[in-house]
Amino acid sequence: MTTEITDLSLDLIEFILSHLPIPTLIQASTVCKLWHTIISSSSFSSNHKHKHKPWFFLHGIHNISSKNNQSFAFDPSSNSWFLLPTPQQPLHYPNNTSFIGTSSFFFITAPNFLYTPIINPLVWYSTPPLNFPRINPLLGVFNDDCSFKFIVVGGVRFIGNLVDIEDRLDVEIYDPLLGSWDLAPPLPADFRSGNSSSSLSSALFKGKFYVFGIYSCFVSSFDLKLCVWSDVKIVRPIGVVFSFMIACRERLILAGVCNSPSGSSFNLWEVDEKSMDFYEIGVMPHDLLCSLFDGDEDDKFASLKCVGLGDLIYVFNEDYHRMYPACVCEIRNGKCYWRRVPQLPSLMNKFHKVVSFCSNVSLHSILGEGQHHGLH
Amino acid sequence: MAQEASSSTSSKTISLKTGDGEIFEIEASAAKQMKTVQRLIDDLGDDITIPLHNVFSKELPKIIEYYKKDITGEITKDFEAEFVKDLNDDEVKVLFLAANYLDANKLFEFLSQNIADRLESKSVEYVRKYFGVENDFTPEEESKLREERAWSFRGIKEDE
Repeated sequence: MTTEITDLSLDLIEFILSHLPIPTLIQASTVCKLWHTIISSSSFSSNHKHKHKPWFFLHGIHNISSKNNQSFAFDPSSNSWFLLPTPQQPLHYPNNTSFIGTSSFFFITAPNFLYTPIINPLVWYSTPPLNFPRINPLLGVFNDDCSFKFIVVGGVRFIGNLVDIEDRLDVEIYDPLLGSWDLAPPLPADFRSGNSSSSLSSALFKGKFYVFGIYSCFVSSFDLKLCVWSDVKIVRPIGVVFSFMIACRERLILAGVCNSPSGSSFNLWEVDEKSMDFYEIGVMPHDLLCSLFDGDEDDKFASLKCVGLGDLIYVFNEDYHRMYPACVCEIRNGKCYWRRVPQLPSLMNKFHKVVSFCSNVSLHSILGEGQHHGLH
Repeated sequence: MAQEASSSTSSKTISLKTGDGEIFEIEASAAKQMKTVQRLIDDLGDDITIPLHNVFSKELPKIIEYYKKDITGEITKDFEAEFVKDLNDDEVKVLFLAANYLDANKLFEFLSQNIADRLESKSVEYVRKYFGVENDFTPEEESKLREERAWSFRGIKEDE
């Protein structure tokens, strides 16, 4: 029996496509030229069903041979890992200078400041060097009126091959339209100087850059318009051992390990960004937490890390030998839904260090004109 | 059996006539979920057999089955999985077009997701055939695009 009209109109096709995960859409962009135009358009990216599901990135660094570096990316919508093309090591850069990933770019912060898109790392773009080149700072990318800006906070001063842990380094903000770094007041002194990204977590939320001490529980926010730091407060739920501050969609979240008489757990709290009051919104199922670890040593939680954005929070064990087991929590209608992240593929090289972060992935940037420019 | 027209009777049934001349009954409350049908009822009255020129006897019973469950609030993930289990990709497409014509929102959204799920593991060539789209890339253009994004063609899923 012949069917009636079975070709769908473009509107209907576009609606179906908006349900597909990004890697499938990248393939679908090769169907024909019209589809390529539609899928790479910024309006398609903004209507995409999975746009609040950021990816989880693990970039493994081999201290001696940069050829062994690998970039893995996890797409929560297709529940798959991908091996991304690795950025070429820029010439004259020792392999383990400060390497940071955030907001869809990789950055190198010292001695010069360079960045490259995570998904298409073909070319390193440069800005003038920081006024105070540093390693391991906190870094954020934010939108200010029409353009992107970079904000660099804290870190350890880099002078030649030496590091200087005494200075409290000014905050620096890069404006691509001016092509220069502006200085702003440094992180409040309550955060001990020399603190680097290993003891601080940061979150960009509602026009402020929040810095949170993972062990100290100090928090302060930098107003991106007024360029001032808020008073330092403490956000410490009872029993918390260490925690991370995460900017989710519409909510500021605190995520961390909590001890109680009945044992250890990994909890999530929602934090009111004005009052810094908090209340618990979820707890990781106990068997999921146990599945991230091997034995029962006292300090097993020390390698637990947490990153997040949009509707997702990733919790993982930064342990090479266990192949970085991870789980992800989706926050839907105020409720928490936890699940295991599939195991990393075994084609993993040996790494000395891993840079891990969460970032939105935009089809428009991968497929559109964005793939040929640094910033747009 | 004709019933008194009453705006609040929940047991009222509407007669629908498909493009190939068959007649099916549907509860008024289910008909409400299909905006096209409801509009026709508003125009023509609910005692007349509503003509649906673009929906046929193969699809309409399935659609009626879906909304029968919907009005009793019984649509679950299991029901939806069972609902599409025996449909092939082309049958789902025809059902999807019918849901679009009928402006049956819930079914339309569910079938969009189902089609997307089916396409996720299919080749680019299959997708072209499925939507009746011509490839207007030259072989060189196409292979350059695929090479640039080779990583996205090789997702690694866990063997579960």
